[in-house]
Amino acid sequence: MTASSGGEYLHRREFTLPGDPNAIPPVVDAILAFLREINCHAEEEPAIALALQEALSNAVVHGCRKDPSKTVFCSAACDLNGALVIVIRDPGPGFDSTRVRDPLTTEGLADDHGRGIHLMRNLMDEVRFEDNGKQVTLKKF
Amino acid sequence: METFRNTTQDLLDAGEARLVVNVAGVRMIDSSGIGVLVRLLASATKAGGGMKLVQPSKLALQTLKLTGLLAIIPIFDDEAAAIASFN
Repeated sequence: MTASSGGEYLHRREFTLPGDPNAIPPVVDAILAFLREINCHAEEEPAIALALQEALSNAVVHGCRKDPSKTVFCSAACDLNGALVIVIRDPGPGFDSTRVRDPLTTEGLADDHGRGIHLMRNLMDEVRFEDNGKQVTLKKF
Repeated sequence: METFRNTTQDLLDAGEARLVVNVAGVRMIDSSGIGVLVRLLASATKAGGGMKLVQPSKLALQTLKLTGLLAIIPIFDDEAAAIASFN
């Protein structure tokens, strides 16, 4: 994991992690610690932690195919309006984010996967996919 | 997660289909954890038993509610009540 600061936001820090599921929890903890440090939506830590876990898990599992030689890039920032902006980018082939099955249908409820994006959308105020799903931006206003 | 999955599968393979899962102290259950619980509930129910969840955290309850599973997975405050519910 590496970290740096700077840029156009009030506060911003970058993180990287290998395509290894075991690398996710320390990065989640580091981002949460950063948010506490800059007092940005720190009171919503549990929801942000889960949304981060889901987004990073998607990047590692689907984007990197759990290949530790691949790298996921992540940044966390607080803008001038106090909004939290997290951007996660993976090196994978991408996917069509508009074609994710609704997990609340009868088939979806019985499925043992496919709830991550639904959780992200409900835990954060905005979730936006770009570059064919290879980049996701999570926001808390 | 792998240990939990293997342990519960071993129990099912041994014929133990009435399962009580105590998640007190588990900070959050992500979607993969939810998936494991869904699969476990289905397998245990199919085997004539069931799966009960004990003391999920506030965030875990919120997650179960968001994923529509709060009404499907039985929730209990303590293990004794969960075990008694099988009778």
